[in-house]
Amino acid sequence: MVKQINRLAGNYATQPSRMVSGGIRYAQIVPQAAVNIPKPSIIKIEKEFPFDSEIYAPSTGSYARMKKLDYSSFKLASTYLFLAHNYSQLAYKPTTFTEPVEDVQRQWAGYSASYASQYFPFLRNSNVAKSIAKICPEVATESLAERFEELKEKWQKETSFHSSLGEKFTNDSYISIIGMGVFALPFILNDLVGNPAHWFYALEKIVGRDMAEGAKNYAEARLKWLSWGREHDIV
Amino acid sequence: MTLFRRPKRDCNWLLADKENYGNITPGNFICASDSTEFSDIKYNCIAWAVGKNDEFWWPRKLGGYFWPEGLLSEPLNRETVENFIKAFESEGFQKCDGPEFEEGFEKIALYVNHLEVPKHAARSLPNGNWTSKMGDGEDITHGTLEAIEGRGCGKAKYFLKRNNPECKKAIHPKT
Repeated sequence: MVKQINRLAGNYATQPSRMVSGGIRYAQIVPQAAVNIPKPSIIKIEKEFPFDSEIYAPSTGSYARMKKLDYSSFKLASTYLFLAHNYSQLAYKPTTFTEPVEDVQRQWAGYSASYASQYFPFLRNSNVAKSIAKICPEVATESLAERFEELKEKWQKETSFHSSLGEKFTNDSYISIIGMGVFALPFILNDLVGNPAHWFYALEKIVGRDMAEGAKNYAEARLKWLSWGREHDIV
Repeated sequence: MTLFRRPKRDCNWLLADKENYGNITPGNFICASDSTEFSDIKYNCIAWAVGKNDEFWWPRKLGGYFWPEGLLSEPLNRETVENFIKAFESEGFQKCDGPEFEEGFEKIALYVNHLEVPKHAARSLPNGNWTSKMGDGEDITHGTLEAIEGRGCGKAKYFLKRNNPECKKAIHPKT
């Protein structure tokens, strides 16, 4: 499979895939080495990409590792992210390489726009953007979803027998989820929809504000956070 | 409508968790709720100690959690016994010497860790047994305070009481 990906990717510099937890393969695409790709519009975007970054494009999800995070950079990052992701998908499906370049470009542009609006529209709110700009997610080689689930499971296993919020909120895994920053928000809020857990502290720390301020009980706070999430199209 | 239904549990996790609940045995507690409902997480041991099952009591100013008005919000893992005692006093409890059964009174035992940080609270039942909400899990009835002492809950060290005419005589069903 690794050879197949490399062959299909052609000049697009694709490093050997790696096996990580869960057995899912990841094709690591290094943008700095991708200047030979014969698609002018894509090269243009790559040149505009404003900061040192590596893009991981696994088959089941993608994210960018960013050393800086601000709104304009993030828009470009999410665009590039989907270009890389979609290119990876194309690599798995060689027949799609026969499509006219324009169609592929249009498809990529659609994906990136869809991605940005689906997961990160709250970045349009400048106050929130300023707050989360301080967060620099650390590198992880697994997909965000896998990482979140792994940390959540460990956190619950280690703290569910405690009544103390101190024990729950200072647990290493919980702090790591907070460290995922804005990338954790869709996972936390969607978890909150179907599973009761003490996410309010993490949400407050990531967003920078307590959107459930004044809520006297769990149910009320949960509704307020979910309402905020829906308002910003995160849930 | 039932929200967030979880697999029915039987408190066996307590017996399996020797690291945190080394004192508990099949003979010194009974599982008092099945923990299948949303109510799992909406209250904790502190709220349960004052007789409430619809609030999560902790000295943290954060939407979703409750702490009596006028009392301090405290840093995580640096909560103080004094603050918890004041919270219990707001519900009519007053400090007392020990956990021994007193006719006409119900009692709270506040558990602390080795740094005197509160970790758990149990409430006496009219028959002299104790009831505890165990973390996100079930309510249990235990015959002694020592049954749940350990790394998970700490040690029962501070005691409070308030009038409750239903508390008439001590009957320990499990000895």
